[in-house]
Amino acid sequence: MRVLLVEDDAPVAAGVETGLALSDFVVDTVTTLVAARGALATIDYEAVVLDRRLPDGDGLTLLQEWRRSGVATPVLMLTARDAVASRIEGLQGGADDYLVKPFDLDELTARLQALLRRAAGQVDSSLRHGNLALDPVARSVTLDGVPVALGRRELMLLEALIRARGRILSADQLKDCLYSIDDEIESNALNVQIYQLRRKLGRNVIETVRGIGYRLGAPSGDTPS
Amino acid sequence: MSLRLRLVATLGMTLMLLWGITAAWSMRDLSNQLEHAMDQRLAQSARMVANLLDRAPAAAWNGEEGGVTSTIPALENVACRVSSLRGKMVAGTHPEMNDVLAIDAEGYSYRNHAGQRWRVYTLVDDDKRITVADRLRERESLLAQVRRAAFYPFLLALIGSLIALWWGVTRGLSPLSKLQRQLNSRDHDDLSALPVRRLPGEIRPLIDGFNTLLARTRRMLELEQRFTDDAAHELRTPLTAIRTHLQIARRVEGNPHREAMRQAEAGVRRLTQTLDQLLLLARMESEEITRGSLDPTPLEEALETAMTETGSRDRCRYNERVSRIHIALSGSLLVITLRNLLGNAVRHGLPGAPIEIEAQESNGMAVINIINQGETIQPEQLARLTERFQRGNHPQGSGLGLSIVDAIVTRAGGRVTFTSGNGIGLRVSLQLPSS
Repeated sequence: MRVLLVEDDAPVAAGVETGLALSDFVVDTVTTLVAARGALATIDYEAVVLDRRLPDGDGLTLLQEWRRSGVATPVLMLTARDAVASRIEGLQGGADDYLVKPFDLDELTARLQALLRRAAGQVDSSLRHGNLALDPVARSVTLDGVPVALGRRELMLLEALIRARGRILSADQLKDCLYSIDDEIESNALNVQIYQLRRKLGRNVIETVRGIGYRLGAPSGDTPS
Repeated sequence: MSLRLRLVATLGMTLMLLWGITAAWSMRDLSNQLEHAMDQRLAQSARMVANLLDRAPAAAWNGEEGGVTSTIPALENVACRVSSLRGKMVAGTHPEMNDVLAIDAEGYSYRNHAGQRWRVYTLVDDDKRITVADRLRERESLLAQVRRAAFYPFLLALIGSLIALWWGVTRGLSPLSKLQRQLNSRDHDDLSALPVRRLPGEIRPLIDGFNTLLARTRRMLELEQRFTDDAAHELRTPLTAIRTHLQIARRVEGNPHREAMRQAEAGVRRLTQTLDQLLLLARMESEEITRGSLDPTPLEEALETAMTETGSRDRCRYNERVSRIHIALSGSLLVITLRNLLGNAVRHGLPGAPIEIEAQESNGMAVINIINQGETIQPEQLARLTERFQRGNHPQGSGLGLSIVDAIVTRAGGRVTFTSGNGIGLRVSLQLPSS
């Protein structure tokens, strides 16, 4: 899952980036409102972690601007101000959640995952597709209730496909979900991961739509939930 | 005690006292006048009787020897007795009062008869003595009637003036009452100015002063609020970094673990620095640094220490005049001041360029200039340099250094000025009392 982090303090940004990466989030960090505006316009992020106090202004003004122009991406605000009034201001300004610094990394992760789940209209915390179940928090996959060992990127790829719910995702879109701007990507990396997933979960788990991209295969097994 | 009550009580009591004195005075005067008038009437009636008797036929007196006494039907409150000069009673209204009314000397007197007091007047005519008397009770009841007649209008006037007084005071104080209502209905946190329109001239300066105070309080609160926000940000940001990196360190091993620990330690250092600076600033703002009460500090010594602490010895250039100047400020505070300024010059100045220190002394003031080369700072930024947590475009540092310098120098009775431009990144000019 690709997340945009808008935070100007380098040590904090580095910490959050590393911490979220541990939970398989792909994080791009920008330090200004201008850069954040540009990044969100270019890449389809699944969530934004937005600091309020930035060198070129208040994060809240950018959020309000996004909401006015119809951007629905879930936004979690970070702030050092713990006054109730400022939290209310943030939530009314369009934030989906609000965390006061210094926050717990696990709490940030859990809240982000909850935001993504809500955005997908999902109640259960695990993602299901036929006899396949993926727990985004525990980072585990089971096939017919039997755990399957997947690599980190394989799991991220599967998660992106399940969250797309049968929509076709292009190779570029899939790469966006797996790698941040700073990651070096080998040209055949995506193909290797798709091959590995098919090998471990069965050939039909991913369907290739020639010339367009990939989507999840029809659910197999007789237990849809 | 409310102003209105006090005014009404003072004026009311004065009014009642004055009215009371006036009333008592008039009553006394009235009694005297009445007494005098009654006495005159008594004398006139005696004279009238005398005249009547003079016109009566002399034969009527012939019977004097005969012992005939005329008795005139009695009036209850007036008595009359006519006698010969020898004391023989000729005519009278109250035979039973014969003894009482037998008075030889002419003039007024009082007499008692049967528990009643009478006013008596005796007129001695050629051959007779006429005595008339008034019952005093009659006079008193008359006086009481007059008093009663005067009392009710007086009471009405008194109550009327008290009501008028109350109304007038209330009306006069109505701007104050309005103000009181306004103040009572205000929120405790409301610091907006009170309206001064249509206020009487006496209260206007008071409210103007109050509004000035409110405005100042508002500004202070805004500054405090901003400071609290800034402090929260400055303290919580490194804390966030520390916490996050410690949590990462717990989960990873090897190089990432070491990197996370390094980041956490850097965060602790930053937090420590910010806290130290904040505490120093707080101490600076609460403690009194009195000028001249301290041992003077040699400027060169303090400069040496500051250069060593900031590692800027190689870049600093200064002349030997520095060694002759002593500053009237404690050594540690002077070192803190110079250290902050040199540290800034090292951090924000053109890398490797010399930092110039000029010093001179005149009229008991030492002027120390610390000049670093670098980019020009805009005037509006220059003006805000000493604000707490104002860091300009430089993320390093706590943003408190120049606030501390300003606090120290101002407390010591000196001044700091900043200039920038023409290749000079920042020239800090310190004016400090020397000794």
